Amino acid sequence: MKLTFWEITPITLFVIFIAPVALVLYSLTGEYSDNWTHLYEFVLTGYIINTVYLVTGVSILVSIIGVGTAWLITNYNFSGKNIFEWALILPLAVPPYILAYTFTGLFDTFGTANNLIRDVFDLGREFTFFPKVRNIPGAIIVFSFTLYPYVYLVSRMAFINQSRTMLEAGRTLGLNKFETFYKLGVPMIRPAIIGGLMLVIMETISDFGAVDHFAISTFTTGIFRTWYGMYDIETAKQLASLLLIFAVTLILIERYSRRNASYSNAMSLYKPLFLTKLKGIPNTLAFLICFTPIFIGFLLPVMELLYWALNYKLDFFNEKFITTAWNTFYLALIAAFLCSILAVIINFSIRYKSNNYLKVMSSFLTVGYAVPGLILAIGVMQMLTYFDQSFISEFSNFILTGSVMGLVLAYVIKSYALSSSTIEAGYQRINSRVDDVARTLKTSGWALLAQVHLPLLKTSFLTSMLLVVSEVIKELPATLILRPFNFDTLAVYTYIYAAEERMYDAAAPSIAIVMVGLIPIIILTRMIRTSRPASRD
Amino acid sequence: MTALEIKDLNHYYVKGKNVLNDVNLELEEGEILSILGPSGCGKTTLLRIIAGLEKETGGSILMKDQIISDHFHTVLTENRDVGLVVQERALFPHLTIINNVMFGVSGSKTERHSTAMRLLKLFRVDRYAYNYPNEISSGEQQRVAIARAMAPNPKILLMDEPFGTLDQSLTNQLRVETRKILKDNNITAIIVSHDFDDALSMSDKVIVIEDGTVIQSGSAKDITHISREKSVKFSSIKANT
Repeated sequence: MKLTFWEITPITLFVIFIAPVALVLYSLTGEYSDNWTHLYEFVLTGYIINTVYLVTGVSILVSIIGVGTAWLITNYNFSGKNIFEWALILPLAVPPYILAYTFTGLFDTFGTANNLIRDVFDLGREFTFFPKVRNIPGAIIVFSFTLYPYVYLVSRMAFINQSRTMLEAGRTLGLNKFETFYKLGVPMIRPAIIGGLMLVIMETISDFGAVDHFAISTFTTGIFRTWYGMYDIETAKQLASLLLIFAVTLILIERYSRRNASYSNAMSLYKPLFLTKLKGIPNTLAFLICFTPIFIGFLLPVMELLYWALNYKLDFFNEKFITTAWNTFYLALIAAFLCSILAVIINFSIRYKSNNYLKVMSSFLTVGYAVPGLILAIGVMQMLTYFDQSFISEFSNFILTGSVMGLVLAYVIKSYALSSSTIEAGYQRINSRVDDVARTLKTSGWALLAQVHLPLLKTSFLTSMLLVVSEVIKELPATLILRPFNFDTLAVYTYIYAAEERMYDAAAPSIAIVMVGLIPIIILTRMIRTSRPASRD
Repeated sequence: MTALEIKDLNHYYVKGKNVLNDVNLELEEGEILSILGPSGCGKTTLLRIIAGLEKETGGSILMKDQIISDHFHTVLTENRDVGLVVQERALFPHLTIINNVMFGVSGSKTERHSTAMRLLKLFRVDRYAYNYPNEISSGEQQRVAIARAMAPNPKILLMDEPFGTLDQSLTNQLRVETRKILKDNNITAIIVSHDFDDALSMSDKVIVIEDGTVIQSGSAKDITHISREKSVKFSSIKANT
């Protein structure tokens, strides 16, 4: 069989993406140290239970917030709706670890919020109004209010593309508005919700900063402690391998659960939804439902960070800061563009070639998202070092290792799942008969992609860029390991200060991360609002 | 001249469960053929195989005496010179009507534009040339879909349940209009349908497929007389759908 570009590219990417992960997994075949025995006998069960609690709690809360707000925004007109429409994704700019830091700063016994209550009501130092947040429920809140935009974005896109006729059919069959939502609206976009939820779960299980700050023992804290505390990188990699197996299992379950799901508008009978105007109590309720996640996930941490920064550190805006912000921004844009274009090419290959092997390979490409950044960075570093030593050492010592290229590669492998799931969801809304017709009109391969698919995928492509940019700006561990010498990003600053509990010093770079993260979010959100090809479908 | 010849065509997705069995047919240039049959009988698969969207597992297909698909080689869809109209219309939602029709036409922009406008006028939808597909009715969308498929001047026009989602009066009107345009332009066409009326009012020839096998074939007039019991059986299926 003659291989074409559409088969060669997925195969090549499969090899590049899997190699670092395989290097980590390879550790399972090595020797198991005493540290492993200790972990296995005493702490592993705790890691698993805590991780499962976290994932379950976050999944439930994120689904409620993400789907609920997306439904309200898509179907109703209420006070502040035009602002909420884009403001609901603002928490994407706040990494969970930064919200965790501000939460403890606010709600710890002598945090800002408790101090305020004591001052206002003239209460003693022993009085504590807000409950402790350094626990699993606290972590669930932190993850949910920073990660729900993933579910919001995909649900909103799917709701926009829902035809009015289908929902009206439900109403004529006796469903009230709420029943239309949960019996018709939600089931019809179930695959999109599951796709968004998978991203949230992957983020949750691979986070280190927030759970470490809350002193919750999970797989990731275990991996880091094994490495930094016990200096046992092999055992750390073995633990990471278990987490990886868990993530792959989740991916397979998700794929299996929607194996027969088809949710394109099969007929070109799309009719845009009519918006219902809300008044009185429903209007206030809708306002509060949309305002609360923005307040907790964005306004509250930003206000706290500003308070810290303005009181303690005003001189952060210097040349070094601008260079660092520029480094962060251009790296994020390069990685986002590469991720999105690769996701388009891979998903197009699967569709164009109708090849099940390519589909299976594509599933494996998303696995980088579940690998903790630090472990992925080690895998990438080992791979690049091997490549340098095997092929380039004749000319120079190290070219790829410690280069921006290595960093971009790690970002792309880590963030590809975000792009892939978004582009895949976009593709599922393009009826396959469109391809059939285009082919009879002598349009195939690149022409089909450029002239038909890309214009229809514009919204998905921009969403994918948005998700990856905000992900890369927040990325810490991989950046720390793989950054070139004397090359900093904003996340590195924050990490160093926050690790030392110097929260006032961490405030300024944290704000910068949030602000830099906001720029592409605002630009891309506006573009998404004006593009919406689906509304013409 | 024979526009299309299909010899001993077989197809299966699971070995041993054929969806098409030894299909043979011949179509002269300018003729209109209807393929009739209940849902799942294999008629759409046959159309997709003719279009090159699926590869048959046995037999051969010739267009104008040239082999376009057999055991040894296959001409890709994009090189087969066929036009396709589907029930869902599948108009490109991001393009205006005129750009949809110009899409598959080659030549200079002026030539492409004039070809597209001529067809839009023929189908009486030229006033919507600069509208988007969602801005016109389903009947108008179907006219545009047929115009788009005809625009590159294909050797054969393939139509899969072209009027399946339209109401009866619109369907009747479009049948008459479409047949006239196809005949006036000497276009060879194959229409897949489960509707006897489509076949009788539009076609010169009809074949009836059941369970992947051609059970009747002949002129549209003959088909109502041959094998009456089979037709009755099929009509009852149609009435239930």
